Amino acid sequence: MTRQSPDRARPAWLRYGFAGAAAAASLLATRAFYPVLQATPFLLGFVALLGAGWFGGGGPSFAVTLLVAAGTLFLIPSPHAPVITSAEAFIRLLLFVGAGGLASLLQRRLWASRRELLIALEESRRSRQVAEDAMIELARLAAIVESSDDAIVGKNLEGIVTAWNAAAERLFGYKAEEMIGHPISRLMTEGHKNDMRQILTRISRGERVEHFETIRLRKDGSEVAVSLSVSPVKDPSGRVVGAAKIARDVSERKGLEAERERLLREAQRAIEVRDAFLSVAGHEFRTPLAALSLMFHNWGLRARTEGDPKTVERIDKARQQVERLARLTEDLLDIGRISAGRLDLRREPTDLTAVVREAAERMEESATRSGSPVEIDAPGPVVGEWDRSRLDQVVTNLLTNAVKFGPGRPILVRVGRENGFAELSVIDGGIGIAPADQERIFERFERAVSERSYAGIGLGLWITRQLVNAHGGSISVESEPGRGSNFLVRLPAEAS
Amino acid sequence: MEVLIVDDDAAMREALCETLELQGHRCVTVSNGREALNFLRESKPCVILLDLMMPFMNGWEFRAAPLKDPRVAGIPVLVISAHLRAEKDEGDLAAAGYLSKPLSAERLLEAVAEWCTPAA
Repeated sequence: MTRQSPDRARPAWLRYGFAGAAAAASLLATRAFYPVLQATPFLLGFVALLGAGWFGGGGPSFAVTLLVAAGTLFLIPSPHAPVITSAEAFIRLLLFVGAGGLASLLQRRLWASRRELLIALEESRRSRQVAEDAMIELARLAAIVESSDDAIVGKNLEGIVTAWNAAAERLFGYKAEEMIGHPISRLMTEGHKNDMRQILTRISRGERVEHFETIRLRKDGSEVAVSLSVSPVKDPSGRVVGAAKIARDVSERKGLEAERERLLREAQRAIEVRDAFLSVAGHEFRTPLAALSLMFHNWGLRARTEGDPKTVERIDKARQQVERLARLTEDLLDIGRISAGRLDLRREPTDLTAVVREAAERMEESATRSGSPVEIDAPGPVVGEWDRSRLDQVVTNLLTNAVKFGPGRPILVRVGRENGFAELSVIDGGIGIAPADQERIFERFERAVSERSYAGIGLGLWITRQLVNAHGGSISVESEPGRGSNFLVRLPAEAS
Repeated sequence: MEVLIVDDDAAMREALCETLELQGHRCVTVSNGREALNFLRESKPCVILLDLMMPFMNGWEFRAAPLKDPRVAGIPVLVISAHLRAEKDEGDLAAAGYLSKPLSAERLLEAVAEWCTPAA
């Protein structure tokens, strides 16, 4: 609520109307009681000007003075018998006007003082209101600070504690009265004494310090991991006079992080052990596989010489199994190589079309046996700087999958070139891959099909993608369950 | 001249030797580098098929020894190892060729034929 100043409270017409009425009343009364007031004809006029001054200020008071002076001249005792009949009477009139003017000036001054006083009172009231509001706000903030779960601590630039909330008591074990007025350094461990200096230096420059993780000492001597956020506290002139610090206990989080780190290390170690085992086992398999392969070769040769077709056929089947075992062994060894980043590519100018034709020829027998003839659609040589044997592995893996998952359906292999990339598409009409599995199948040991229905260890496509990526290329699949798959490989190629 | 096979795995030695013999080559087998060096004092094979990981004297040690002996330094060595992928993995073996296990008979015979002529 605001109180208006007095001259604003009474409009001018009222103040001057009142003045006119007072002047008229004084003149009429003087005229009526003229015989009594003959000696002091301005007495009632003087009373009227004082009243008008009280009611309306200096202006109305002076208006009354002039009205009474003029009225007295012409109206009292009658318009036809003027009161000014002598020099003495004229001097009396002048004295009245002078005294009235003086009284009006005093009234004006009085009114100005009153107005100033009222304004000052108003300002004082407003200030009190602001102070009250600030006190309420302060109490509210104090309640927030006090009820905060985070420790909130105020300190000056010398590091002396100026505020300490309940959470700080809980976190550090010190009561507010034990800390306020004391140096914050009692919370510092030997190894972290420099923290406070660093923080205060930054604070004195007006900077905020956020999520500063450190160790603090509790009253009982135990250490606690805390995350600090410290803000500068400034006085009204903007000068930094202290710091407000929020400390959060992060021991539990730290513990969880340490546990996570430990588990991660263990998992990594387990993977390393697994890869090392696969590598050792893979290498150990190679010697017996080599011996077996040579032995079957020799037996086959003998059987052929001796003209024993049944034995030759059996030995060929056995040789195929040895070759399969050898391929699986190489896949296992590739895990270790790829994981350890030891996949060395022997790049040389290589024709993708030739690699595709050779792989298809090599697989012709098994593809024909499962009723999936391979058709090659290639415009001519598509050459790039690739590792020939690894590229062969990529093509063979994709063809093997096409035969395995699409028996009885023809396979189309397209080789082409598009925007500086060689493109290889292996399209089968097989069982297809559900959209949800299309990315997963490129992961290690992942399979989109039941292992009861299809053999395999889930490495082929992972290795294929790693090999393609190592060449700076990409592999993707488009597929629809029941309608087949199209594996598309893109490799950086030489310009034709 | 015969082919000297140096491998600690008996089955491997036998399989290698049989494969070569079926093509008319003659071969001598030993199971480590030390035995190979003893053999080389008296004979000079047309090629040495050398395994790398062997007890007593491994392939690297064996390779270091004959290189110092001018009588055997000129004999070509074909390294056969389960640990080969790239030649650079094996350091400076100064080998005439590298065959990675498992190896095919065709690849073996092709490599040996470069240095040895079958007797029959």
